[in-house]
Amino acid sequence: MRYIPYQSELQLPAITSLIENDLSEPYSIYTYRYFIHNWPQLCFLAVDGEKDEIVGVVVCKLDKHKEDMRGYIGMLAVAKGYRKRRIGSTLVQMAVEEMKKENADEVVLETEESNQGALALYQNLGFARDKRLSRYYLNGVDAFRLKLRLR
Amino acid sequence: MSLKTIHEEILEQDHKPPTSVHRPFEWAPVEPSWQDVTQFLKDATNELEVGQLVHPEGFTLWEAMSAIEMMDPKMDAGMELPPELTSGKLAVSDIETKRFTAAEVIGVIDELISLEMSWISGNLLCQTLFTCIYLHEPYKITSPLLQAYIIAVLKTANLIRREVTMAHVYEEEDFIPDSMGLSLCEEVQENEALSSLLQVEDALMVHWRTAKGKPAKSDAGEIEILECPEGRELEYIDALLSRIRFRRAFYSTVASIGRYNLPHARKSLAQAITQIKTIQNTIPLGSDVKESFDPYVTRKLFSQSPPKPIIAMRKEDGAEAMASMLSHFQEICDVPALQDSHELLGFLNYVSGRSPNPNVLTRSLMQKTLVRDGKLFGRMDLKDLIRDSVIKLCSPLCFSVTDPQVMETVDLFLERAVDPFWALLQLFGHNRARQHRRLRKLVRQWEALQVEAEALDLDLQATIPSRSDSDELPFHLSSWVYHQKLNLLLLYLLLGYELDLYGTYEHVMVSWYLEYLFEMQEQHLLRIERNRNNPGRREEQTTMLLLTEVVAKQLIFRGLFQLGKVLRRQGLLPSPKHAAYNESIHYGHRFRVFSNLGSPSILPFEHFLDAVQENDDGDEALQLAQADFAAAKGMLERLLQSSRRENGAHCADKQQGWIEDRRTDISNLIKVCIANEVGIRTMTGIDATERGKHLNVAFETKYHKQVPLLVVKR
Repeated sequence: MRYIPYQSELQLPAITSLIENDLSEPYSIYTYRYFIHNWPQLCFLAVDGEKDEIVGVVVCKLDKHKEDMRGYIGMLAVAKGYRKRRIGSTLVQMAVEEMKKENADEVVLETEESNQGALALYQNLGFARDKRLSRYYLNGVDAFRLKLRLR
Repeated sequence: MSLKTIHEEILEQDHKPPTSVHRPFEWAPVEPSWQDVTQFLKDATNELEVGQLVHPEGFTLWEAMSAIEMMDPKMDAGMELPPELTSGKLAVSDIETKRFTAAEVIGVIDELISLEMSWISGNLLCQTLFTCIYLHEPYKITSPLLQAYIIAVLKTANLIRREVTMAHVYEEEDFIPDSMGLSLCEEVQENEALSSLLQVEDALMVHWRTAKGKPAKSDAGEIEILECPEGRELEYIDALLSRIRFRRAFYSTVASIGRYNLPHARKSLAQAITQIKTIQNTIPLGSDVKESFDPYVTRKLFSQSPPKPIIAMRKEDGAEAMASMLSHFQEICDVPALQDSHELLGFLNYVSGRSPNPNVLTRSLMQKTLVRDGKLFGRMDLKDLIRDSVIKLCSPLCFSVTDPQVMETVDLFLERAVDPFWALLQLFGHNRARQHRRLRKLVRQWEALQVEAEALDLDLQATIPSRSDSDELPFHLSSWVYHQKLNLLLLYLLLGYELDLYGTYEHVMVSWYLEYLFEMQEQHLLRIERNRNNPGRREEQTTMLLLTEVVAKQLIFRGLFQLGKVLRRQGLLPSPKHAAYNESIHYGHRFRVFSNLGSPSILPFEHFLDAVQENDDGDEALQLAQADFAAAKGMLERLLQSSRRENGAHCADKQQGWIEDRRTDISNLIKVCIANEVGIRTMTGIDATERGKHLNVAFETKYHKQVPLLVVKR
């Protein structure tokens, strides 16, 4: 497994198809572009070296929120056959590391309350469940706001 | 990620929110002249390098997420739907010719109850009730019975929308009042809608008598006999009758509570509860009515990408949700019987923690009942309630002194306490997740009140000589405030359990903090007790009960902490392993609500570290925990007994609910103690060095939502 920073939009089709597999509601192309065009340095990819195939991706942003510099993990996806190999954790750690370099005070994200896999992954990395967001998704499911304070 | 977060952030930044997603589609009034720019755009695109993006200044996440890709049928509401999504559905134009059987009407009504509940739980009107074709042209419905029912449903929706909007306790996730231009029959008067239902009911009674072979007392007028399966007419007429009666009773219940007419509301509510039971039992009589419901019928109302159709609630679940909401309404009718602020706040807390949580309509009607014309239940001045509460807790002299200066000071205090107290009552109107978020702000409000109260206490000390035996100077007013503030802080941390916010590795610090807070509350109550002026027996007993409860809870959390400490040391509650995670920073953030308080002062992280490291013999800590749970259990059992005695002695019927709740609460705490004792026994049965290898531990809230227990699995 190789971990590489995002390089060019030629990788975008692979990224979108990876993320869309996990989503009930597809993002428009503009959502991807919003993140990746503004914060290309906060997007990391996992590549299966043998097949030269993108099998994991994390997409983030970092901007001012009230007094803080807040990092935000917008999307994280790992292809089905590649899970439980700490690929997601590694990608998140790389993104957090980069955000730290850029003076982030905290990193946040939202995840469905029933998404045990994501909750475990982030809990192991020290993201705490900061808030419950009642009926956050269109399907009426609650979400948690997860937060990792860096300072 | 969702549009909601972004929308919230925009609101937080105090910017005007961008165009709402729910803006009805507007056609351009004048036919524009079109020019095909496809080729021009394609050529222009070729001039861009890979990765370049043309966008306006300030391209925001909101804009990106609410943009659509034109000509993508998943997003573009202007595209025609594929035939498989529209086949087998009636169109609005079919309404005037559609005829019904009794089974179909029953089916439609039951589907509507589910959709109504789905709307009240926070979905869009156009994605719920208005997926029913008939609501779009109710006057063209051929069956007078179904027409009367549907118009009443629309009137109910209008009423609910008004009540919820006025109560101001809804958030965007709870309720969407926007009808997007769909008609809720505002032109029909309430009495017209209700009398149509009555007419239908009368006609059904005529049919019923006929079916029974009894002579009819009057004729059924224009109201048709719906076709029923042969030989089962009575069964079907009964089912229809219960549905019509239910609608009238349900409407009247909401309207009566809205008009503060609780005696009338109680009667209607009893009727509605009876009828919903019959409805639940007769759901199978309804036939398949899929053709009457089309999730895509309102698609054109969205100028941006229409949301995906929501998952329909089963009829059985819809009726169950209705039944549970009606049972919550019962509590609204009972709450004015509570006179005492301690009971009132306790009751509101119990009610908002019910499973399922009370929905937005229940919470709105509850708030409305609480506050009327600036008074509690329309009759009790809030200042009097606060005065009464201070007297019960602290028995201060200042409230019985007639010195004008003292009276003025006391009045000034009551004046200042009114707003924070209202805010506290209002807190319980919000959904549980929002209560947790709002508590941080509320604590600051009470902190400010405490500062003011302390100044006023000093004024009072100068005027009134203390008569208590204690050497301490009495701070009665601020004592009362501090007591309330501690309760808020406790609620804040306890709600974290209820909302499942704590990870396994956090239990040790949270239980440690809760033990500290309960200890503060205990010491505070003892101080109040020492400074009382000639308390009555009743007041003394109340404080004793309060104190017992506080100490019992303190022991439970101390036990949990001892337990957690051992588990932590044995590596069973591992901290996150991530270079960017720092326990001290996390601690500061988790308990940030305490960081700016004058009292109780925040406990430094180093104290926590000392506490987990002291007493290195794990088995001794386990014995201590065992003793704590046993002692807590004993105290709670005594509380339970005394609450039984109290019940026998003096208690109005209407307070029954609150007493019942309290008893259940205490019984659940006892179960937690027992379960934790069992957990410890399992642990002590295993050699300390082996524990890390053989045990699997988890904290669960299965017996009490706010107090966890340890589950040990080998």
